[in-house]
Amino acid sequence: MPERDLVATGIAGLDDILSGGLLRGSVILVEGGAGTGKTTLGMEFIYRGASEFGEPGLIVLFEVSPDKLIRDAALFGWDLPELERQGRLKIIFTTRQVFQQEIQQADSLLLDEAAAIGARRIFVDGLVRRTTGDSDVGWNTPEAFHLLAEGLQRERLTAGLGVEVAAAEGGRAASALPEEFIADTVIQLRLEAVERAVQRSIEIVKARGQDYRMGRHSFSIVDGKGIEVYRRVQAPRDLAREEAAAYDTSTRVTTGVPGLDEMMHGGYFLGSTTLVVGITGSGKSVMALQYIAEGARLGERSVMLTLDEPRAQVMRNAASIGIDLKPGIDQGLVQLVYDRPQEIEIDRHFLQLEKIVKEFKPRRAVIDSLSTYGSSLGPTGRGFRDFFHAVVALMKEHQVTTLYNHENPELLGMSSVMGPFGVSSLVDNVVLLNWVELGDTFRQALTIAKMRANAFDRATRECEVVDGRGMRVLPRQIPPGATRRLAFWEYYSLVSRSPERHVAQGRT
Amino acid sequence: MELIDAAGLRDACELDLLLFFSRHPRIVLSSEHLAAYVGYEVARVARALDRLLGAGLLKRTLNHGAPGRMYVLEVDHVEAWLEPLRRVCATPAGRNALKVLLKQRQSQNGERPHRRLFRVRPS
Repeated sequence: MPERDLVATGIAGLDDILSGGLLRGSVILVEGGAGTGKTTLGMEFIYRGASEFGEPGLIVLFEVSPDKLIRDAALFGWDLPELERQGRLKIIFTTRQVFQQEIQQADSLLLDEAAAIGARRIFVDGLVRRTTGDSDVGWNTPEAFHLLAEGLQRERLTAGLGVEVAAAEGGRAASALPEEFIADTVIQLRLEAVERAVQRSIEIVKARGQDYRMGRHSFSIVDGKGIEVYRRVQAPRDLAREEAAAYDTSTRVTTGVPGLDEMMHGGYFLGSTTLVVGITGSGKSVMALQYIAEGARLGERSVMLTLDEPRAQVMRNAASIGIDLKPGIDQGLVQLVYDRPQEIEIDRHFLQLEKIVKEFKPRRAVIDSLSTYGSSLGPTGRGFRDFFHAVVALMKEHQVTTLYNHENPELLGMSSVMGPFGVSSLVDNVVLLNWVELGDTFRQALTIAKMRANAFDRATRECEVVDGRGMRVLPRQIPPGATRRLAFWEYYSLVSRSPERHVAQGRT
Repeated sequence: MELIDAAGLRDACELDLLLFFSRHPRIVLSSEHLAAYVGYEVARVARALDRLLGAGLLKRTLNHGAPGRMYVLEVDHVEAWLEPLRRVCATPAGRNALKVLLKQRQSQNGERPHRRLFRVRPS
């Protein structure tokens, strides 16, 4: 198979989606409504080419004046005038009509200008797309577009064409128009309403002769940087990566909760996925903190990703149960990552997590909590499900043993593990934390409801969280004289909200 | 007045053309389009262009058979005074003040307005 001559765009994340870049000499339509980022994308394509890849470029403008473009570029740290001085960039202002007539000339001034600096890239900003029903007037006909594409191809320029799409079309025409058939690649940019917020998305609709990742990916325009594209989290993973996630049933990762490892015969399996379910205050975060602290004690790297509590609050909570996370953080063993759940951009968030996993290489991870992701993404749509699938796959691929906290709304007992979320089949282990009402006291119960490939203690055990010491699972048999309470084993139906004492025991 | 002298400006059309070219240093436009952008009659724009071309502030490339001509602001020739000129003209008051000065000078010199000073050959 001949090697493809790919042109890297240099735009963060975009080349990944394009499987390396654009085919040299392609004509690329960049479609979108006002404010979707067409000009910025085109400008960055040219800037990166000229400044990083030794490919001079030409920018042709119809509406934006060059000095405004230069001003906007400066916000991203791109010095376009300097590139012009170095003969690596030319910015030309013209009109659509002149451009159409000009580009068709055999001795085109524009193409002469491109040739004069050895341009390899061109971006033409502000073409207006003919919509169905428009009369074929002016430059804006399929024939004119075809001539334009021919002219660009003749010069072997990799050409981006910014095409304005009416907002009424929702950033996407009902049916493809002739320009899309002529162009080699079609990229659509959108502003999408998510509840009351708006997020940017990018979709490669077509890329002739090359592989690419389909679907709508997110992107941001970041001051001082430019465009950052975040691959959508549900993008299919390579088979090789799936195979790397083979289940290891020989290596255990200790829980950090006294008594729990014994129930599991040594701890979680390496790379396994554990769901810790319980109502607020039932001890999920405490379990998570002890898991992280145990990792630090053993010299293992851990990451805790929280949407519920900022770092300072997590550290304060840890201190209340006698855990000082600071030394672990200082030694590079612990990372606490907080992201605000409001208006979370899930693709960006996932990319951040992926980066941490690849660079920090944790052995342990905690996600606190799935229910907050569910609230942000909606429990029933594909967003949450796809995100969770992607995170589980990522963690397994990198053999990170991960706890996912999930808040169950039921105060007493538990009739469903995940309610409407319905992804518990993905997890290897399920630990339930419950309140049990016995007499006038709420007592804390821990049940291992599921543990793949492992014989485990199926009894519901009492546990307690003590200030300064954290959580521990109590022995099934309470030593005589240790307490006046009855042990859990003396009851049945503890988790089904109506615990009763075994009559046969005959104790009061 | 020093700026006007440095730039060699004679009238308001030249000033507005120069400001336009400072914002769009490399353009391909027909005379009609250019006139529409700066807001003067085509004939007056043509005369002002001739002067700027003759003074070496602009370079023009003709393309026979096509309506557009390429104009390139010769940055090397204008660097010293262009930015101060732009700053002064950044407000309507500053731009109007320069126009008043230009008009006064035309009256003092007894010049006929929009006089053609250079004959420009297409490059």
